[in-house]
Amino acid sequence: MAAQTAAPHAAAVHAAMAVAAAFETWVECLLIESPDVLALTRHPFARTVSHAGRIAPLSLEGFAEAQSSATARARNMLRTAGQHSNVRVETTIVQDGITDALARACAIEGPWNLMALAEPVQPKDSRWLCELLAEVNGATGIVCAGTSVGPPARRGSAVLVVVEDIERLPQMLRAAERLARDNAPAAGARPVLLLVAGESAEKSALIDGHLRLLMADMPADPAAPIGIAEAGVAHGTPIEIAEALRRQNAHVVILRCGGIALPANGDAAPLLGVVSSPMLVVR
Amino acid sequence: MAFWRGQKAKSGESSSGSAPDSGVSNGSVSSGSVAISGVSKWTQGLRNLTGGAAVDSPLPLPVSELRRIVDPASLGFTTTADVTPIRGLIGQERAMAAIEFGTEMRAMDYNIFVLGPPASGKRTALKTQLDAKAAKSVAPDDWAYVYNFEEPSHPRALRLPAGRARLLARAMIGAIDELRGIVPALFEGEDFQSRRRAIDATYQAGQEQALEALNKKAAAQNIAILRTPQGFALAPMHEGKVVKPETFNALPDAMRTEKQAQIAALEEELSKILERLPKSEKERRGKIGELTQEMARAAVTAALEDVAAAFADVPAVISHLNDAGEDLVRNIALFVPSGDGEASTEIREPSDAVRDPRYRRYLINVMVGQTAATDTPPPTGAPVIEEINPVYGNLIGRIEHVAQGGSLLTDFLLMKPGALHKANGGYLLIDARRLLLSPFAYEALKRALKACEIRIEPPAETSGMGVVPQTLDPEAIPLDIKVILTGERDIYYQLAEHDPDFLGLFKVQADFDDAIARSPANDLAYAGVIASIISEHKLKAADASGVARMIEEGARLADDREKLSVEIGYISDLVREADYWAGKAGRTIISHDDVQKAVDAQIQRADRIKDRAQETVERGVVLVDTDGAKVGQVNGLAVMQVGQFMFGRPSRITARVAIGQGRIVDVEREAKLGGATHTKGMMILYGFIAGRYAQEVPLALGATITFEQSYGGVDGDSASSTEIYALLSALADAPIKQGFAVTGSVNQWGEVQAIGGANHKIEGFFDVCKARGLTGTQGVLIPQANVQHLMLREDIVAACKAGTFRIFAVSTIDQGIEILTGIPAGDRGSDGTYPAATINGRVEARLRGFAERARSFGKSAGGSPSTDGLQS
Repeated sequence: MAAQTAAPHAAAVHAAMAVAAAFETWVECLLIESPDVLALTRHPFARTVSHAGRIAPLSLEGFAEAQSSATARARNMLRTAGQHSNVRVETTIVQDGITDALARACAIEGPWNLMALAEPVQPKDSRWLCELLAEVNGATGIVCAGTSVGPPARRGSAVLVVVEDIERLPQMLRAAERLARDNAPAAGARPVLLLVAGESAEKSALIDGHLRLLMADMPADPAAPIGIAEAGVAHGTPIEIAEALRRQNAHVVILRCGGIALPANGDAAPLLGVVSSPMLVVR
Repeated sequence: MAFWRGQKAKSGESSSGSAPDSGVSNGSVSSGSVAISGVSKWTQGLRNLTGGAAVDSPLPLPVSELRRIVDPASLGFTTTADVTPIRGLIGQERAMAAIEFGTEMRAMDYNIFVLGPPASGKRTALKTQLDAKAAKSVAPDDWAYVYNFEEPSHPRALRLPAGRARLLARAMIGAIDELRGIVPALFEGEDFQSRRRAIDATYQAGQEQALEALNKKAAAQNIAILRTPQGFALAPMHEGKVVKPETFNALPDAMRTEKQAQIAALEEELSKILERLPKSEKERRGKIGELTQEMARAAVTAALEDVAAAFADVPAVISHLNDAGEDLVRNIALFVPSGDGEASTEIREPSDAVRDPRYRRYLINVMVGQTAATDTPPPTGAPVIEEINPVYGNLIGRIEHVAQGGSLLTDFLLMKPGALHKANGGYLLIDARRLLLSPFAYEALKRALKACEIRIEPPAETSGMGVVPQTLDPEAIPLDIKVILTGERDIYYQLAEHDPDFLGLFKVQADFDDAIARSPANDLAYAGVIASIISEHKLKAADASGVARMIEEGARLADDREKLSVEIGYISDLVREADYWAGKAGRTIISHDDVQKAVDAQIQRADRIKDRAQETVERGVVLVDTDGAKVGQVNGLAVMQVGQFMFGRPSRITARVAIGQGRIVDVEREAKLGGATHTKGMMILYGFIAGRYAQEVPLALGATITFEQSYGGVDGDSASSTEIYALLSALADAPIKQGFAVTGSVNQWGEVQAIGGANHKIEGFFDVCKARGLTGTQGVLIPQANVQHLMLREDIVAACKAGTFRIFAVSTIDQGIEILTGIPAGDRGSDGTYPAATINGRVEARLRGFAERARSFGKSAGGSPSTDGLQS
């Protein structure tokens, strides 16, 4: 998980913990302190503009104190989130850019299976998101939350998989099953819903057909069957796909980077501004 | 009527008329005459002493005067099956007319106090009458309390037509449940979400655009906007890195100055953008708020429109619905699930509006609501409520509290109605004694009646005592009620005397009588009441002998043979117990013997104390003589009451005399065992003695009179004649026949006056004599005025009939002393003195002797006798 030490976003942290718990792994947190700010404090004219618009001098001491408080708060929050989800959390403070820090961390500790962003992504950040996914070595996906992600109580219960092609479906289904089992209500696991999304009606129908064949051949796990059902077929523009996703009100959405829903060129604003569930974005 | 043979003899005169029993002929007395053979030596001796004047021997009362017997045949029926039952009461026309009047006087100060003895059936009769009247009355309005949205601590009272308050309450619950269902979906729905997103997007886009523009502008100037824990910072950049100070300082001054100015300008711009954010955010929230209100109003209006339509004819309800609707719109968030983070996944919504504390203020607290459903006709009839536990809260209503976090909290739903609410528009029956025994209750009732309103407030607040937790001040409800208090007479009279408000609020007294006059018609009416009791309790029928015996017992209960007790409770008990005994005897009809058995069994169950008292007399622990004669000693009679059981008991009264200063010492009073009435009797006694014997000679008498072996206190003047007899006996040195017992009050003229409990007193002495064996010389003297009250036991009547016991009625002390001593009382002669051989003469002589000795003693000792009266 990577976070700038301003303030980790609660929904994003929760999503990360939930995924970690589902995959029975632990979470390594990088609290990234910008070296640029540290350098800036040495300038006599350095000032800060607070969120309320107040301008004040920026001193090294003041910055260090504020940084220390923010770091402590972030650590506390992450530790609490980890305890709540029964996930081991280790925190490291680094001074680097995000991508550099992530790359260095991978080099030291080995590549991550999954990367989580502790800050919400803005609608305009889809390209950056995809670039980040491309750059982070080893990670199969990124867990992120948009600016409109709400509390878990307001979300539905299903794990929704956006099926835009068949090749990634088995990988995504495995991830979905893991997420469906973890944190599930005592009465049973969450259902997994498959939303077929294509550029056109014909393409969607084709994907749907392949999906049905694949589902028919897939053996069910007799120990803990997960209910898998089709949520529907959507097609069209990212806006239309995003709306279809929003209506499902899933607990978590699994989709691929660079598809229709989350294009690599930044047109994911409708998705990121509409979907109220955290997302597991896969390569 | 006194029974004397011939005329009372005066001194020097011969008796007129014949005396068959005594054999005395008119005129002279001859010792050899056969005619006087029947006269006792004692009587003859008296005649000799009186100069031949005949002594009239008084006659005991005839048997017919001792008990008024009902002839079963006179009743005119065989069994009560032939009698039309009389429901309700008899002989209570006065009281029932008062109740009728009081219930029809529609004024808040014409409440009713029903007074009378217990078991008189007044409550039952009252309830029957009220039920009948209430059934024909209009049902009163319903009342409810609702939340006051402007002043929550002052709940508002809502008046609704009868039967509709509960409908309104149900309708509001339905409306709230409807909102619970539709509001979450409404705010999750596409319409609201898309419009909200549009608002968010507008404001966010504005912010983002501004920041994005600033970013670009800064980037164009090689200035980066960095995020820090304190906010943002602008730094000069070169090739993606912040320029170090030493590098920056090495730049030309102009460049450095320009860069700093650029940074400062961008900081200002950024500051302005950030300053606008809160205002922008406020605007955004405002827009969302307007959107929320718009959606909420539509939902609330839809939910309440059916309720409003159903109560369109009740303006107060419409007003309340408007207020509630506005509040619902303002607080629509109450209906949206909260969901506040990871921990909220297990939030359970309460199952319905009634149990959810968030919606309490929209509910209706029905205080008085006639049961009604939409498909039944509206209720009719006024309420008749009997409050059997009239404590403050049950009467006025109460505001309950719940403990929460160490505090006591309340709201309008925790207000509970009292009896005044339930009876509003109708009638409220309360037992006066219970009301007065309940703290604050009576005062609260009076306040409500005077103000014509019901105001619920904690008693601690009205009394100014105690700590009052957070409470409410609800709107008062107008009161239109008729209060009927029931109680005994002493309560009524005490209230009338000591409470200045009482008579102003309870202007109608319904006075239930104890008894009705005996008459053939009333005897039959009594039979009708008995038939009614039998019918009500499904008892065996009673034959005429049984009814006759019950009527006699009714007279006995009234303690007056000219009356019948109308204390229906006791009569009912008697009938039911007679039924029991008839069943025990295997009879299917209640007869005389069953009733007698019931009476005897009642006595037997209650007379343990009487038996113990009797035993003390029989065993000689308490000294009571029943034969022989003694000077200065008389058997007095007292009535004891233990619970509801009364019995008579003889008590020895003695008098001793000596020379004194005209004082008659009341030992009971001196020992502080005498009550005021007894003291009065003793003073009257002194007045009689002084008035009769101290006109010419000072009263040099010192006397003491006491109730022997009495330690529990004495009151009443029914023994004052007895005390006079003892004193006269002591003064005259004339023995009193101990086979007699005496009761009777006396006035200063020596006239014997009526007393109470004559029957019990006679029976008490009879039982003592009977236990020792009746001699034929025993009996009781009672006042003449009490003859009409006699309803003696049948065994006493039988004894009198057999001549083994006698009852004498006297009107004067002189008559009584003659019976008790056998010596003529004597009349004052023309010379102002009494004949020497009479009681009066002997008393006069004794007192003169006292006076002369006192004078001579006084002369020799230097003192003089005084004429003080009773020792004060």
